[in-house]
Order: sequence, then C-alpha cells, then structure tokens
Amino acid sequence: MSWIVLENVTKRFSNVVAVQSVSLQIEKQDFFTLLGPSGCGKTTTLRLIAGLEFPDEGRIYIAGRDVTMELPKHRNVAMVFQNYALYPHMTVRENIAYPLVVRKVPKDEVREKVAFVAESLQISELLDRYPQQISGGQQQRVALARAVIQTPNVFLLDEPLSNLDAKLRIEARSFLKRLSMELGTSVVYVTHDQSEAMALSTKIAVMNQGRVLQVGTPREIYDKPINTFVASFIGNPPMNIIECYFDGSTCVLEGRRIDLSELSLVAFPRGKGFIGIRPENVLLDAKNGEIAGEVYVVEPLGFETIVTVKINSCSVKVLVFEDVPYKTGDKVFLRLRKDKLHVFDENGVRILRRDEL
Amino acid sequence: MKDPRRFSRIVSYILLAPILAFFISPIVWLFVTPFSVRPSLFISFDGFTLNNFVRVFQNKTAINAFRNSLIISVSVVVLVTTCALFAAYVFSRHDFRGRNVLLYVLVLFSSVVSGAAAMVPIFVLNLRLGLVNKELGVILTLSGGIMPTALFILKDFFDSIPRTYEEAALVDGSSPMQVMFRIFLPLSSKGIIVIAMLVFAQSWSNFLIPFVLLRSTSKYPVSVAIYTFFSEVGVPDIGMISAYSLLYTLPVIFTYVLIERKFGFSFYGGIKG
Repeated sequence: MSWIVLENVTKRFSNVVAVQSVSLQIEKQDFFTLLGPSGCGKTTTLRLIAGLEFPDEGRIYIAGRDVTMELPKHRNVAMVFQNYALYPHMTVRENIAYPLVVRKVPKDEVREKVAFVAESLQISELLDRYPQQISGGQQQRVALARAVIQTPNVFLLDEPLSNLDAKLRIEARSFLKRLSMELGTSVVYVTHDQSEAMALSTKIAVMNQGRVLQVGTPREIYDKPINTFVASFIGNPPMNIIECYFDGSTCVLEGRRIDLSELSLVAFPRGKGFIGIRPENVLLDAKNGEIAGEVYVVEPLGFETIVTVKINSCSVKVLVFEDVPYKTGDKVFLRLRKDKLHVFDENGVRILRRDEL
Repeated sequence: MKDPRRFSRIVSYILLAPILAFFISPIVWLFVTPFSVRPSLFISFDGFTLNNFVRVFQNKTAINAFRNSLIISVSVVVLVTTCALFAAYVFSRHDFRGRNVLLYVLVLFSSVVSGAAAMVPIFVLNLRLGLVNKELGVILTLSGGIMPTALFILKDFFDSIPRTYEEAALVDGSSPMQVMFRIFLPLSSKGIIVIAMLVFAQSWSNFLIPFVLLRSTSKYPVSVAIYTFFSEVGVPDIGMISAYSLLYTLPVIFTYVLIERKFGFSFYGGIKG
C-alpha cells in the first residue's frame, strides 16, 4: 500500500462539489503537487488529507492507517499555510516549539530541538521576535520550522511561495526542494503555478473542477498531456492549441493542408479536432515553411524571446532562443516539428501514438 | 466676519454650548457637592469637608451595599462572559441551520427580559423558583438580560479573527481544548475584556431588577441602597447621596482607565473600539 492513499474521496459544500471522487496514491519519497486553477479543489484535497475537512464519501489512509474521520492531531501531519498562520501572540521561538509543547515533550528536549531547527533554517537570530516584526521570507522559514520540528508522516504545503515577491520566490523554491530531499518523507504541495510544480515535484496531479485529470511525473505531464486543458495549463508560455479539421491523416489548418501520416497515431479524429504544439517546437522562417503568418508581437525575455504570430483568426506563440530579426507586421512562415505535435479529438482528449500504447 | 466658515463655526459653538453645559453640569455637581460643607442641588462650593464621606462610611447599609453590588456584578460578569464566550465561539465557527435567526431572536428577547414590561412575569418566575429576596435571583435575571447582547458583540468580534490560526493549531497537534485555551483565548482577549467591562458596567448600574426582586435592606446593591438616604419625612440627604454617588461611579471609571492603560483601546459606550 502506498504511504498516502485517497480512495474515491468526495467533498461537497452545501450544493457545490469541491472534490469529486478523487483517488490518489502518494509514495513516501514523493514530492507530490496538486496543480490546478483557483477553485479546482486542490486546497480542499489538501485539507482533507490534513483532517481540517472530512470527506462525504471515500476513504483516506496515511501510513497504512485509515484516518478518514480522525482529528488532525491523530494523523501526525504538518502543514504550512498560504499566509503562514504564525500565532501573533507568541514569539518565533514559541511558535516553533508549539507542536512539541502541545504534545507534552519535556522542556529540555523542546529547547534543544528548537535551537537545532532554527539553526538549520537560519532563523536563530529571530527567535525572540514576534511574527509581525519579521519579513515575509523569514515568516515562511518560521512556518517551515514549525512544520519540520514535528517529524510528521507528511508535509502539507498550501501555496507557501505565493506570498513572496518574485525574486525571493525563486530562492525559496530551491531552498524548499533541498529541504524536501532532507525531510525523508512525502510532501504534498498545492500550487496554481505550473513552473513551481515542474521545478519541485516528483509527481504532479493536475486538477480541474474537483477532478484529477492526470497524474504523472513532470516530464509525462509535459510531454503527454491527457487533454487540451492539461496541455494548455503546463508550460510557459503554454502549448498552442489550434482548432482544425481532419481529413483522414491530413489536417486542415486555416486553409492549409498538413500531412500527419508520419505521426502513426492510433486513430485520427473525424472532422473537427485540435492540434497542439509547444512554443519551442515551432520554427520561424522568413522565406519558406508550412504556414504563413504575420508577426503580431515580439516579447524579448533575455535568454529567450516569445514571438506571437497571427495566422488569420488564430495566433501561435513561438519560443525563439536566437536573436530575433523580426518585428511586428513582418510576414513569416511557421514550421511545426511533427515529432512534437499532439493531436486532440473533438472533446479535447489527446490521441495516443502507437508507440505509447 | 469675512470668512463664512468661521462664522458658521461660531454659530455652532453657540448652539453647542448649552447642550454641553446640560451634560457636563451633573458631572461637575457630582465632583463638587460631596466635598461641600452645605451640599445642595445647585453647583455651589462653600468650604471643603470630608464629613459627607465619613457619614457614608458610618452607615452600615451603605457599606454593605457595596459588598452586595460587587458580589452581584462579579458573578454576572463571570457567568455572562464565560457562557457568551463559548456560545459566541460556536455561533462564529459553526454554520448550523437557523444560526442567524436564533441569534437575532435572542437579541430581540434580551431587551424584553431586562425591560420594564417584563417585570411582573420576572417577579412571578423568581417567586415560583423561590429566588425572590436572594442574590442568585438578581444574578440570573441580570445575566439572562445581558447575555444575548454580549453574545452578539462577541460573535462579531470572533468573526474578525481568521480561522487559519485555529486550523494551524489543530494540525500542529492540539486538541480542540488546547486550541481554545492556547490560541483562541489569547487572540480574542481584547474582545472578551471589553465584554466583561460592558457587562460589569451594566450589572453595576442596574436598578430595576434588584429593586423588584430584593426585599431586605441588607441585600440591597448600591443602586437601590441610595434610596434609603431619605429622612423619615422623605427629604433627601443630599450630602450623603452625592458622596455615595461619587463612590458608586468610581469603580466603573477605575476599570475603564485601568483597561484603557493596559490595552490601549477606546471604549465607546459599549460598542467595541
């Protein structure tokens, strides 16, 4: 049995279904990310694991024990909240010590552990301050310290980076990854930021409207998204999804016919469908290519440049890593890397290749 | 009078002055008369004396009444604050069916319970329960009257405290009781103190209920005992009444100043600051 198991868990709030029949298996060494847009049920799922909500249906197991209806204190979980929830009437020291104090750990041991955890998280000099007196990044470390000191079965992190500014966020992300490797137990992480999910996770579950759409390694999610939602949610900029018509193995895109027979798909959609291609897999050329378009906007980001190309009614984002000689209004040609092309049927479900079966 | 704003300001001062005088003069009277040699109903000071206070302290009923008032008020404060605290917590944190209706019905009834209209039923109820002429009757009746208001204000205050603190404490391994006493109470202490003060001021100053329910002079609280300072022919002893009134108001003023110093918030006539 996996370290954490959710079996057909459903949670309703009055008439709204927040989490619908979610099943997950999380291993002990996993850094498991619940990824999805706001309101998709990812935080509710986390709270169900924490025991802050109880499911209406289904069962939850942690470390082989059925904890479905147990209080948080019997689950041995640690959680870092989005706003950190540091107790404002306690010093940093008291905040970190709190989980041990309520478990009636002897005072000497508490003092020792607090000192050790504070040392390893580099917050020793803050111990006598109050949470209101320290910066956001420091508060985050204190919240992590309060979680780490418990040696729990699982760490639950609810968007812990979203309250930090952009520069600090990247720094905290590396720190978090390093920390999670040292913790030696599973981490369940909630975020709406796909780049965080990609950077940190060993496994990602993409959620939407209370359902888990796909579970897999970041690579699998990136390379084999199960449908157009997952495809367009992952990646920055996200995958281009273009509506088109299929005529056998030929795709008709804005009046251009593209032969896709070399893709060796299990089946081709009949009539309406979608093709998807990541921005880095589209090649720009000034003279020749499959599809003609016009440069709509050029966004240089330093190392790479995002070029948005308009093709009649739709637009395609292209990621270019060299110097871009184009400017708005230029006529360009696009070439799609066929081996990186995804085909989705009318309902947005990705069609597998023969070698993926 | 070139500046029209200045003109209107002067007019408003002229209008406000008599109103201000109307409200301030009783307070001035209260602080002047007890020390006056010849106390009267007018603010007149002719010679300093502490004789009025000496007479109050020699009066057994008067001193007893302070003890009675203290017993009643402190009991009401403890009872109301404790009950309202737990009730308000539930009202604030649990969404059950009919929660708001229940809350508003309670607040509506509270004005009936302590109001003059309910005096006869309240007396009959206490009589049947054998609580007439007992402090317990006064304490329970007063508590019942104040409780819903206290509950209402506390619930409002609790709503402003984010739930995440309690949730964090739960996940950190606390039992619900530990959450209450280690996290929630310290966080809400300000609101609870304001409520305790409000309840104290209300029960300390209430006249009607002890007046109706208590029979023997030895059990009178200060608010009722003050009416014993009349001569046989019904002439008020203004010296004693004024000195006694001043002593009567001091605890309320004192608690206010103390708490204001300690917690640094303002208290606007019972609405939380």
